Amino acid sequence: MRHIKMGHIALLAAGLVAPYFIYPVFLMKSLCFALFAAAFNLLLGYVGLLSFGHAAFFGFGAYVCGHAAKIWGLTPELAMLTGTAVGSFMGLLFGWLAIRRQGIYFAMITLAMAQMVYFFCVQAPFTHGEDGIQAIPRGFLFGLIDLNSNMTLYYFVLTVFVLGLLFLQRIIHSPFGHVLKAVRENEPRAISLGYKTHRYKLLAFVLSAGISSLAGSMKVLVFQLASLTDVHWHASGEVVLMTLLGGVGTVLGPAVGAFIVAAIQNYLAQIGAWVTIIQGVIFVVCVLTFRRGIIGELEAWWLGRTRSRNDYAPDPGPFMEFRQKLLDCLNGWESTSPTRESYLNAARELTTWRSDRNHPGLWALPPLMLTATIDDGLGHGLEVIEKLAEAAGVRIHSLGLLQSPESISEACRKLAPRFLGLTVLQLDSDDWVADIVRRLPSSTLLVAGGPAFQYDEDFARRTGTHVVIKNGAAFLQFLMEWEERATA
Amino acid sequence: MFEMIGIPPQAFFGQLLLGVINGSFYAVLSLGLALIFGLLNVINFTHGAQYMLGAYVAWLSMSYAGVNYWLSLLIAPVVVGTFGILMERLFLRWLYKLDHLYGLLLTFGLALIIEGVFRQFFGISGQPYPIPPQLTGLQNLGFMFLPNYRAWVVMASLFICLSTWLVIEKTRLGAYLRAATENPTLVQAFGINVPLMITLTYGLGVALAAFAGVLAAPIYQVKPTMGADMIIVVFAVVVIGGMGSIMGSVITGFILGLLEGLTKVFYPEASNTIIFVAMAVVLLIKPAGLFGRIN
Repeated sequence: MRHIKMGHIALLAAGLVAPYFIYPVFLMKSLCFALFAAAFNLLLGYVGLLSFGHAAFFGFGAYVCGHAAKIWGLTPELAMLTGTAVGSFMGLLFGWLAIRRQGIYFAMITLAMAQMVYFFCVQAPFTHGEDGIQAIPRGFLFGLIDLNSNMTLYYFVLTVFVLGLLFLQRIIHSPFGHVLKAVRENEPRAISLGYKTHRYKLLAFVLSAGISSLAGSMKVLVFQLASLTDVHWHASGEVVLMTLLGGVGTVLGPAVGAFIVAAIQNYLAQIGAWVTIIQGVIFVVCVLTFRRGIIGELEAWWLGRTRSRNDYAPDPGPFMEFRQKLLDCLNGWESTSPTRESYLNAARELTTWRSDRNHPGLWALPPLMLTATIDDGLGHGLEVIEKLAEAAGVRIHSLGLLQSPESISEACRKLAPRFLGLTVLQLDSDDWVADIVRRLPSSTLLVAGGPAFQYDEDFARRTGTHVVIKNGAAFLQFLMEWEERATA
Repeated sequence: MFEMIGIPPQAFFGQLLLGVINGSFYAVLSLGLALIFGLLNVINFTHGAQYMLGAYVAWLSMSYAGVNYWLSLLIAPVVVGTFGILMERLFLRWLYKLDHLYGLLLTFGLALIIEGVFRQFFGISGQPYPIPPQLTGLQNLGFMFLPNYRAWVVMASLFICLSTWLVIEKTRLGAYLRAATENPTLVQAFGINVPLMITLTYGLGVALAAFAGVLAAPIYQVKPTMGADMIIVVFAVVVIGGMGSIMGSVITGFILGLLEGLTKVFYPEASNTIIFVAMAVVLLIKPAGLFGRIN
C-alpha cells in the first residue's frame, strides 16, 4: 500500500515538471485521452460493459463546449460544464436504450447510436460540417486566469485530470462501485440479492459518458477546434485500444494506454495509414497474448516479486523460539483430542505472546490468507482456522460467510494470496469448489476442511483441493511444514 | 397522386429501388454475420473489410488480369473465403473459450489492419468498376426506368439468400449446422467434425460478404472505407432483426433498405440516420429484436 502511495506521489511530481521537458500540447492531448479512457474503463473494467460508441460523448461534448465558448461567450469552466451536462444527458438517453441488451449487442447498439450522432454532426449547422468549429477562444478561467499560455492551460488540464481520476476512484471504491463489480461478476446473483442492476448500470453509463464529455470539452480548449474526428467511430475504437493496451480494470492502465496511443498518433502521423495498421496490430496482439494490458502484467509481476522476497533468510533466533512454542502446543494436543475452545485459547495465548514482543510469528514477511465459506452459515471451523493462522503470523483477509464462488475467485485473482482457506459442509458444493480451484492463481493453495471432506474421501481429489485439513492441530502442523519447505 | 405530394414518380420509384438495392446488401451481409455468430459466437467486425476485399479482388483482377465480372463473381468469394479460413485458423480459434467481446475486439483490429493496408496502397479515392456489358441498359416499366444491373443485383442477392436458407433449413449439412449451433459438444460426440464445420462456416460467411462486395463494385465506387461505413449500418440491422433466424435477418435487411429509400424521398435529411432511429424504436418495443430470442 505504501509503495502504491509513493508511486502516485512520484507520478504527480512527474506530471508537474513534465511540461518543462515535453511539448505541453502533446501532454495535454494525452491527459484528455487519459481521462477519456479512464471514464471508459469505469464501464468496461468495473461493470463489464463494452461500449463501442464512446466517441459520441467525447466528440459531442467537445462540440457543445466549443459552441458555448465561441458563440455564447461562456467562460471556459462554464463551457466545459455545459459540454459535460449535455454529454451526461446523452449518456442517460443512450444508456437507457443500450442496457436493454447485453454483451455483444450492447457493443453494437452503442456503436450504432454513436454513428447516428456522427451523421447528425455532419449535417447540423452549428457544427460546421467538415470544417468543424474553429478558433474557439480559450478564454479566462473564472474570468480571471488567462488560459492562452500553454503552461497555464497545462496545469489547469492536469488539475481537472487528477480530480477526474480521484472522482472515478471514489466511485469504484464506494458501495455503489462494489455493486457494479457484483453485476460484472454475476448479474443474476446480484438481481437475486435484490439489487435493481439496470439502475446501477445506467448510472455507471451516465457517469462514464459525463466524464468522457468532460475530457472532450477539455480537448476543445487545448486545440481550439471541435471536429468530426472526435465523433468518428475511429475515436471509439481508439479509446477501447487505450484501455485494452494499458490494462482493463486497472487504475493507471487507461492513462498509460492513452499516452502510448497519443504518441503513436503524434509521432507517426506523417506515415499516413500506417497509424491505423499499427493500431490494428496492437489490438490483435493485445487480444491474443496480452489480455491484462501493460499495467495488468506489471501488477502481476510485482505481486510475484514481493512474494518471492518471503524467501530471504531471517535471523533464526526469535523464530526458533516461536517454532518451539508451536511445537509444544502440537505435542500437548497429540495425546488429548482438543476441543474448539482449547484451540481458540491456545491461539489467543500465542497472539498475546507475539504482540507483547512485537514478534512477527513464523515469517518475517507474513503470507496472506483469504478465508471464506460457501455453504457454511456459522463458520465455527473457519474461526478456529483464522485464529490459529493469525497466531502463527499469517495475514488474514476474511471474505465472510456464504460467499459466492465468483466473488471468492475474483478476490483471489486480485489479491493473489498464498492460501485460500475454505470450510465446506455439503457434498453438492463440489462443483463450486472445483470451479474456485480452477480459477485460482497458480501461486495460491486451497487449504480446506469440513464435513464434506470427511463424508466423502474422494471429495478432495474430485475438486482438486490442494490441502485437506482435519482439525486445528493439523492446520498448525501444515503451516509449520510449509514454512520449513519454503525456507529450505 | 404523385403530383399531389409534389414528388415525380420517377424519383419516388428510383429512390425506392435504391432502397431495395441497399436492402439487398444489408440482407446478404447480415445473413453472413448471423451465420458466423450462430456457430462461432463471434461478431465478425471484419465483415465490412471482407466485403471491401471482395470488391477490390474484382477490381484488381479486372485491371491487372482482365478478368471479367462474371468470373470475379466466382473468384472473389473463393479468394476472400480462403483468406477468411486462414484468419479463423490463425487467430479466431484461440478465442472461442473467452468472452465474446474478445472476438469483437480481435476482428475490429483485423478490420483496421486490412482497411489501413488498402488505404496505404490505393489511397482513399474510389475506383470505378464498369457495369458488365450484358447488364447495361434500362427497362421501361411505364412508371419508371429500371437499370438492368440494379435488377440483377436484387435478383442475385435474393437468390443467394434463398439458397443459403434452403441449404441450412432443408439439407443434412444444414441440419448438422443448426445442431452444432445449439449444442456443439453433443454434435461432436456423434462423430461430426465440429471444428472443421466452424472453419468452413466462417469461410462461407466471409465468401457471402465478398460476393456482396463484387455486386456492389459497379454501383458504389471501390474504396477502402466502403466496408466500415456499411458494417455499422449492418450491425444496426442485426440488432433490429435479432440473430436468431436466418430468414429474419434477410427480411429485416430488405425492410430497412426500403425504409431508408422512403426516407430519402420524404425527409432526405434523416436518410443516414433512419436505420439507427428504427433500431432505437425496436429496442424500446421489442428489446430482443423482431425475430430474436433473449438468451
